[in-house]
Amino acid sequence: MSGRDAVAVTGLGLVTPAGVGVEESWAGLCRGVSTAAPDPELAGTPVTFSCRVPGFDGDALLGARLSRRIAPFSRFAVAATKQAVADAGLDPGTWEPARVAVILGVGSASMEGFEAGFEHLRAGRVEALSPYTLPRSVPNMAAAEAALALGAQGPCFTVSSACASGAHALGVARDLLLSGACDVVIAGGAESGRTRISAACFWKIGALSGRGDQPELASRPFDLDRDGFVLGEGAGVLVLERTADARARRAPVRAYLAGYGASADAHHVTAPHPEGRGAVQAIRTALTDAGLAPSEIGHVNAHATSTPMNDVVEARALREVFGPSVPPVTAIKGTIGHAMGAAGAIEAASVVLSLQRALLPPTANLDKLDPAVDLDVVSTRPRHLRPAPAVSTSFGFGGQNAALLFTPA
Amino acid sequence: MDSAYEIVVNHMQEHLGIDPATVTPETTLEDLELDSLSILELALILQDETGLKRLDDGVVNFQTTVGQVAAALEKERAAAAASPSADSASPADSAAPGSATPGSSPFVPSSAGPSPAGTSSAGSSSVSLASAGSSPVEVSSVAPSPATAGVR
Repeated sequence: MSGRDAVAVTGLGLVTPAGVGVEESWAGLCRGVSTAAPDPELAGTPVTFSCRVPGFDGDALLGARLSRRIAPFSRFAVAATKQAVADAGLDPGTWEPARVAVILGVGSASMEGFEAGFEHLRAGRVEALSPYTLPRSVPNMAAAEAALALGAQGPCFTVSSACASGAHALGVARDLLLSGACDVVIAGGAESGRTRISAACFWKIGALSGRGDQPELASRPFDLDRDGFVLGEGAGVLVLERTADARARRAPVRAYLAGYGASADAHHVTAPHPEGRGAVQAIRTALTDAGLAPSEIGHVNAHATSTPMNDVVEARALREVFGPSVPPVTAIKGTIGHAMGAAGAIEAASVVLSLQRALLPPTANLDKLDPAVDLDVVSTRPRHLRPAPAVSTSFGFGGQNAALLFTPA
Repeated sequence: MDSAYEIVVNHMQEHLGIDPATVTPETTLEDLELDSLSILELALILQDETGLKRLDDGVVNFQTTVGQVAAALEKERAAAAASPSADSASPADSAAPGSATPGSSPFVPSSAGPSPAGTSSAGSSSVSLASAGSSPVEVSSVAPSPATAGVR
């Protein structure tokens, strides 16, 4: 078995604004219709719409006690984790707990938890602070609660690199597996970024779309009229195993995680390097890691947040890496908004599904391609493709970049 | 108005996800497998949602039954109704053993003096629990301080 197919994806779990569950999410992604809508919880902030997970019944999915104890990002994490473990055909009752790792990406934390706590401090009522304020809000709890729920006792931590967290978590998880530190890794990302403080802060730096009058048109990656991203939420979780182990237990192999590249722009606090220096480096590292040439890549699931700057710089970076043979590109944030720390993992799951089903979901709201974006962007309807290696890109504030490369099973 | 017992059970369901069918007045919080954090959370919620100020002073503990929590709540409600300013009194003022009325569950601090008002939630949960008409029962030795147990 070559290095390229050494690590298998054996299970998927998705909680996204397109739906709760892999099939629900995939159907929504393939519809390619934006899920952005007015969000009453953001009232009083400058941007009062978001992409919300529809019909998430925490009590039913997790049990009332757990659901009410933990923060939204942990609820999504635990729900997606349970889906992925079931999809992989793993039984927490029989696995070797010390050999199961949980590595999740979280971009921020439970902002709403800290918001509530600060309200008490501001009112001079420190005694009214919930004892759960800290343990439900800190970012490590996404991984910790998932490990608690499953009884997984191997390496367990949260990776944080802003909007690239989910992708970095998958890369770190793969390396843990290859190092022999564990036999199974439950990896991905979770976030619920649609809080008042998040909305206000992202608005303050001009990152959010201001299309409050037409929220369903607000997230429009690569479109000429894009004006910012839309706050989203959710979780994406993949089960990774060494392929030899997966085959030995006759597990379903959905795809291989064949390459991972990470880099830092070392350029600016929030803006990407104008030539996409770090993005190029991350993608090339992933290609080298997988032993593949750019011409062998069949599609790219782009980070494409719908901010004016990200999309044009990403397009430039993809041209730089792939040259004239740049493959078709899709951007699912048009449909589900930007789930930040979860985005890279949701997009990774989308790539795996594309490889399995030979179908690329379209980019929502792409009416007029930005002339500065010299790419073949899939829009309007899903596109059939021949299963071939594919790349998913993720870029975070601080210039933290990750690229993942998956190959078909 | 809902009975104090109904209020307690409703809050346990809403905030802690506890199925009311598993609760009776005799059920202890330990029976419900609540941990120290969730016990403190329950006390704070009851205090916050009912406007009462003293329920977090160790009244609610592992060995406390749901009926006792409700009785304490009922007593506080009665005291609050009788004296609108009672909220600012120190916990010991209205909870001395001698002030117990039949059917209620008075609670007193086990330390020598009353806890300073407003600073008592985290560290002063070492309290005595008395049944009406009986001697106070020391429970602090079996119930860890809610704010310190379970924290790494």
